[in-house]
Amino acid sequence: MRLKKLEINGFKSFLNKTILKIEDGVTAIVGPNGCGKSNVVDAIKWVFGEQSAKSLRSSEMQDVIFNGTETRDAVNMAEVSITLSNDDRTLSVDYDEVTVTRRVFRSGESEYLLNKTAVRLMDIRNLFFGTGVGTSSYSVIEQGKMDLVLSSKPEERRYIFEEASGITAYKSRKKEALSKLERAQENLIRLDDIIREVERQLKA
Amino acid sequence: KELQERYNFLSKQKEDIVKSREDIMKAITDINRTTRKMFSETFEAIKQEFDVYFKMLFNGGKADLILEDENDILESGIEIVVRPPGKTLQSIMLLSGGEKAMTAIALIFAIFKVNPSPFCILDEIDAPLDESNVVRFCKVLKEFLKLSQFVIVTHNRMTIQLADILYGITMEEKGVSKIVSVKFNDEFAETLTNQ
Repeated sequence: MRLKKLEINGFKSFLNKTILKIEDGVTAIVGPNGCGKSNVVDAIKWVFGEQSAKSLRSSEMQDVIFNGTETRDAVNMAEVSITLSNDDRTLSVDYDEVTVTRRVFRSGESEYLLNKTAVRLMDIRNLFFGTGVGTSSYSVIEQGKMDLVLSSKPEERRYIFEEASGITAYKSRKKEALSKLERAQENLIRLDDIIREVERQLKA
Repeated sequence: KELQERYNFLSKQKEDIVKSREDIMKAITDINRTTRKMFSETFEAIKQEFDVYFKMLFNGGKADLILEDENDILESGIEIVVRPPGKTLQSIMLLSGGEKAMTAIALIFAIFKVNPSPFCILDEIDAPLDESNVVRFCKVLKEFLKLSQFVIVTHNRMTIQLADILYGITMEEKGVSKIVSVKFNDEFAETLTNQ
């Protein structure tokens, strides 16, 4: 699996359709501060399903839509598409090329497309699951992640190791099991009470 | 009689719940065992690579990762202890800004080595590094180019020279980002020599 192309349209400071071809090796993005370099990074995170507006340096998800300037009107939709080669079938779909598109409208509606067909976020998640790509992976390293590594709290630092070892999915399964256990426990207590009552009546 | 039937029914239900509770507990034990194994294997591998990349990036020294509570590795915090060349062993909190950044980069490379992802986006992680550190950073990065694609946001000339494609982003019009230049490696090398 390789990145091939990133298309940004109406996302953050990218008002006009912008296409970045991505080659093997290193693709460098340069430019003065505040021109939107990191918005390219945000676009990549976003299209892979990032749900936290904060991690995209916004307060609400609709904030990623181009918001207008003194001379330009705001637009109503942000769209980012990323195209990946899939010759090696790392992604379990029968296409040589996979394009993932995410759109959000000012009304708050959002859409995900996989090769132009509407899908759910979960489908995108499942597609990239286990490939090291996705929102909770270290395929995107920004300043904040460096801070996490160097955090003064050793517990916070764990997070990145847990991601690396792939136990995050197990952790949520464990959480599920624990809440099931708790429910079973509660049911058991209630049942015990009833049984005791019935027993008492039986003896009487 | 009715009461007896009810009693039997309830007892049966209780049995079921006790049984399913045992199943859940067994599942949790299994999950704990699996995650403990996965975590400790990954942790040991990262620990080794961390020392390797720390030495490369710092041109010597020593780095280690320590579990704060070895008995509870699923909840334990992780301490980073490093010794930059010529200095004493110390906690990362006492390092300088540049040393901290290099330590973080060493750890990230180590994690990446153990569990590479097909591509990696680096957003100005080389910003706090001085020139000689950037040279070593680029040297290590080159090693990973066979493994993954990199998209790098940077201000650093040394890092830019690694690029196969270079995009310049500006704001010709206030608030609107625009890509102004696309230079491929050969072309770019040419522009550099012509200047």
